[in-house]
Amino acid sequence: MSSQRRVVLQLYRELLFMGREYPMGFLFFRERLRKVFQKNKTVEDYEQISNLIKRGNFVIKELEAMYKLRKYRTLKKNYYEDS
Amino acid sequence: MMSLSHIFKSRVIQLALLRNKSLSRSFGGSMVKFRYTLLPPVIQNSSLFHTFNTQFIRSIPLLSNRQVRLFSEDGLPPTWEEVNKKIIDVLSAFDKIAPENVSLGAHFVNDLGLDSLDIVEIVMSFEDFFDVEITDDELETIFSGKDAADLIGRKLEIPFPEAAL
Repeated sequence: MSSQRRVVLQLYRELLFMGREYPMGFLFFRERLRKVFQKNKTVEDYEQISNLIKRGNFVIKELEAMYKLRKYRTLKKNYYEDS
Repeated sequence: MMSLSHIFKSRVIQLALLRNKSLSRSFGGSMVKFRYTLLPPVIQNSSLFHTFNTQFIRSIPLLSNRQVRLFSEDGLPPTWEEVNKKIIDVLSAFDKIAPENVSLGAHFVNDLGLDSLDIVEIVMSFEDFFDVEITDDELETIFSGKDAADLIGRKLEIPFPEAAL
């Protein structure tokens, strides 16, 4: 049980770190993130928690993809004016 | 002035002569010398000091596991008072804590009414402010400003007052 608790806290930490560059601001991101974590505060089933952790890791990947896309678009804009 | 014969009584040189090694090598490079200085003065001044073999010296862990420590950046590491003050500042800046409730000994959960997610956020800001890394294991041991100060002080290698010789 406590091992899952640790994984969840680690996940929260990583998500907070990923959210530092969020387009709508870090405070906006933090508020939303906290709400999501608090919504699932009462979940006790082991399987269910594992699924939620998986979903959290998926969100990290999505954020990463978003940042990469943003970088790609910025670079492209710099090279090709018209597109 | 030390006479030559006196120097040759030193066991290090005797051993070096026996093994036919160069003298400079038997005295050890600067790294070995540096580690000597970490030994307490009692041992350094004793005659036993010369009989320590380099294998033993290498087995003593260095004080720091950081490769480079830049003293040129801001001189000396912070004092305990500075660390404590900075921790109070960080805690008062946190939006869920009323600044008048902040004290070093206040328990995060029981006294300040924070949850585990808040503690993660606070620890992350400590990491930023003090430029240290705090692992998950250490995170679970932090329950008050005092815990954090102890941990961060140890990481910054601030000497304890009673340990100063």
